[in-house]
Amino acid sequence: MTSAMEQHGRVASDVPVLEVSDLSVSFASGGEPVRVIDSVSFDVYPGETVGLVGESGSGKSVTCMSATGLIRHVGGRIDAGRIMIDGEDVTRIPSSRWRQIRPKIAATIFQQPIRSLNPAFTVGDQIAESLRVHDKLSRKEAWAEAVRLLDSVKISHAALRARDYPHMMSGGMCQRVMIAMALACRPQLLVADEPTTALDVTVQKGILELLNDLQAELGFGVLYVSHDLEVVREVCDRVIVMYAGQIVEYGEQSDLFEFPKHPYTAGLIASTPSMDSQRHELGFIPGTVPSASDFPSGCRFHPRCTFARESMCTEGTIDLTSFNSSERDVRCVRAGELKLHGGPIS
Amino acid sequence: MTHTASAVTTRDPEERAVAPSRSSASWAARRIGSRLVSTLATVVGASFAVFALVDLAPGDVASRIAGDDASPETIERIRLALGLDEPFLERYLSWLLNALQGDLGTSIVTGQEATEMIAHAIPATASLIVLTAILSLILSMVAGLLSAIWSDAALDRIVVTSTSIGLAIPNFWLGLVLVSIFAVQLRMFPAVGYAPMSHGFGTWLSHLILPSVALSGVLAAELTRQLRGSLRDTLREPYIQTARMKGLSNTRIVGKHALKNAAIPMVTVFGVRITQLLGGTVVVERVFSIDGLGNLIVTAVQNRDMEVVVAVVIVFTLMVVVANTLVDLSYGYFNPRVRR
Amino acid sequence: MSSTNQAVKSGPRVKAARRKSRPRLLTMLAAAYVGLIVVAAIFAPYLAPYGPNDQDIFNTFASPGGAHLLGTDEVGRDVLSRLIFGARISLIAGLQGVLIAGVFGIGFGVVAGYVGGKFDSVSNTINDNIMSLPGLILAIAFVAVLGPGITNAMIAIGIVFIPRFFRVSRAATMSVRELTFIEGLRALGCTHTRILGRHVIPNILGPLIVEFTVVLSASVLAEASLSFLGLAAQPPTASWGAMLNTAQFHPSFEHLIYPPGIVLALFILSLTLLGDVFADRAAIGRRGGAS
Repeated sequence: MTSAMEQHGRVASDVPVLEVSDLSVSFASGGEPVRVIDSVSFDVYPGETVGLVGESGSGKSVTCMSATGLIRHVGGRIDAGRIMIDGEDVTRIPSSRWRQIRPKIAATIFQQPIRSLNPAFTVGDQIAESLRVHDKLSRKEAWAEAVRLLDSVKISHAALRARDYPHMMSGGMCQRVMIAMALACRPQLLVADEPTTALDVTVQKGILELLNDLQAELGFGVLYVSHDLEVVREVCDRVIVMYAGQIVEYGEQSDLFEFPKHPYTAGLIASTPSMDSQRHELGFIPGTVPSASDFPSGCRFHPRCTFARESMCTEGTIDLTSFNSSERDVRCVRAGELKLHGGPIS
Repeated sequence: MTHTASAVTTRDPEERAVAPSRSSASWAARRIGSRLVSTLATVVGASFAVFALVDLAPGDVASRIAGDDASPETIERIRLALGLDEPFLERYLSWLLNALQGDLGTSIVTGQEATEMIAHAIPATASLIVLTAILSLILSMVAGLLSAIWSDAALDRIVVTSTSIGLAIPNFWLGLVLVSIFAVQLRMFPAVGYAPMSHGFGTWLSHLILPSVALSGVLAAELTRQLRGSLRDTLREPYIQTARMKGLSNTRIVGKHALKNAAIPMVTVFGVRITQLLGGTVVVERVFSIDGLGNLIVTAVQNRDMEVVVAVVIVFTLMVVVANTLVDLSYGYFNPRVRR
Repeated sequence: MSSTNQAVKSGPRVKAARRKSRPRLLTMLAAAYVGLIVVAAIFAPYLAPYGPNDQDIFNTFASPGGAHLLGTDEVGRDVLSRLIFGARISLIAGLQGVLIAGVFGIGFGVVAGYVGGKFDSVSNTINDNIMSLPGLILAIAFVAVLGPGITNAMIAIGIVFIPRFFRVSRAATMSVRELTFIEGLRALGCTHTRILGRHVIPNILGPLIVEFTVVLSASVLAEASLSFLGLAAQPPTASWGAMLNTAQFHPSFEHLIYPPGIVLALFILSLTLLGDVFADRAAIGRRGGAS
């Protein structure tokens, strides 16, 4: 499948849809505030899909929610850094302003589609709501547009289906509804937080294709969060790998997967089951992701890393450095010397 | 703009699997139908129970009903009126037959038809119940929503304390206190009586406001507790995050998206407590001298007017069933998932 | 994803922990108040300054203060003394109601839950039907048949509360019956009576005690309501409900309205609070000890 990016070709003068610079976020759960993500920087351009991968607890969701101004509703606080969406600085805007502009600039689709829709209202109602509130459409106009949106996400008999309640629909259909709802106000950024994790593989394919088509048509950028490397390989143009609240590797998708530079990336690749991999046994990364209050000193991955070396990996701060070209960043002091196994995954 | 080969995007393969049902009207009809059947069973059961009790209690029925210092003539009169010479089953069945035809007996004291007395008393009690229900709902929604929207710890504690107190205060005492403060001292509302709607909405309301407040104490407290708890749970659901993502205001999220779902357990509480509410009319109508069903049954008991007593018990039973049916049907509105 | 979830969950969890330490003071106050009522009930003749029925026609409707701390009623009886003696009525009446309801309700409930089959389904349906009727109305109807008087009233109230005990003991018995050790005991040749007495009953005490406090406070309230209607305590008996019955005809005299009501409301509140505490303990015990 060719990505939307490849269809369009990136224009160098494009303003990035999302630009995150040195973002640090902390949570204050009763006592001391705990820093959960540290100096995260990346960008997403119109028409491209950027993948965000890592195990649970790596900070992927926090990053997404911060980018869309939702983090403060779950108790998070932006300590430092800057978030620009479509050229506008949204880092410190108040919640009231976020409410006004969010659906028009950045929408999110979530992991459990059926539970993400309100069971007490019809599907059409929920889509039309955004249009009535933000675009100030009348009830009739909003409903008509909602039906059109349902049709654009390939739900047949859209006019009839709009009157259904979420519990009458399958998971895949609910996700399509979510996509329709997200795109209702034509945002430039779509954050997809594990959208297909709860769905069957066959259904997953349909959703990914749909996203691809819509992206080609409307030109929005996608930040695709997943722990499933195979999906990321399929849809993403560039990939960010996060671990313990930091970006540990960042680069163009095929290059990153074929030639990973960080042991964690290599570990993730090794633990991804794939059909015609050259390996015959499934690798895994021993240990678990540390919690935000217990980050190890030095390289945060060093306790689980087979290549860790005393003192160079265990002390001080490890910075994210460019590798060769400006398109490839790695946070590893041994990046140059290590020979790591990569994909292809599929 | 040309699409690639994936223009042949597949529709959701599971689309056909779930067939939408559009028969909410037939669902309602079916619920009412099954309710009617159980109503009949309950009414028959209740009347049978009261009749049986009259018989099973020790001693001579007629003299017991007549009281300690009744003359032999009174006792005989009662015996004749209630037909206590005939065997139990015959008596019950003849009563049942009459009841099904609309004849619920006659008052020993006034000679009036029981149905007539009940018809006269129903508007007052019905008004009281309806106003109490509305008042309780408004109070609990305000308290519950404020508690959730502001999530202020101090406000929350006030709400919890008031609900505990509200649950413990006897409704008739609250009525007395209200009469003492608002009717006697402040002279804001009349202390007694019921004025039908025909006398004007304002008059009707002013007579009923104090009794409704007295009666709504327990219900409002219970509903507030329930709403507070279920709002808390509902606001943690994933679809609330979706609503926030859509940029909806806090008022809209809590007041529309959360509330409709949080109301479901409230409906259950309502259904359970409605029975207690009906029982409460007995004392509250006394305090405010309202000529309703509650007052009617108390007077009938004090006069040993057995036929009227049984008749009013039946009517109360019917009211409970009607209320429960309405509660049952309203589930369908709040929770579309049950409409199969 | 989990870090976000952790943050979301830790908020409410912290709040819950803080709330648990507060009620301890309230619980003690509630227990103290109940104790006060019990003491007043038992030692009424020694504690009350006057007899409950000592009239003083020349001193009717006296305001609180002086010889009569809480004033006098319409025939000159001392309000405080009547309150103290009223504690006796409320307590005894409450216990009467609970006892009647408990003995029959638990008796039938345990048998129904244990035996199962037709007896169980029939009695359960009957029970559910009775439970759906308004309790106070039913009690009043029973009083109509039995005649007014406090004992009759409490019999009526007891009967009305039987279904509650039936429901709880039936459910509890059914869950205990499912435990395999019961089967084992039968295999060893234990008689049903022995099993019921030594194994079933001790295991269902938790929810029963909770129900006991709930029904006790409801019983007290029911007696007060019926006395208020003149159907339970007959004049000149000093029940709190009866005191409020006479007070309603003289609404300008607050000292007749507030004292009985406050005392009654506090009693019900205390019983409910203690009931909640027992319920929490029972839930914790079940969580810790079960399976």
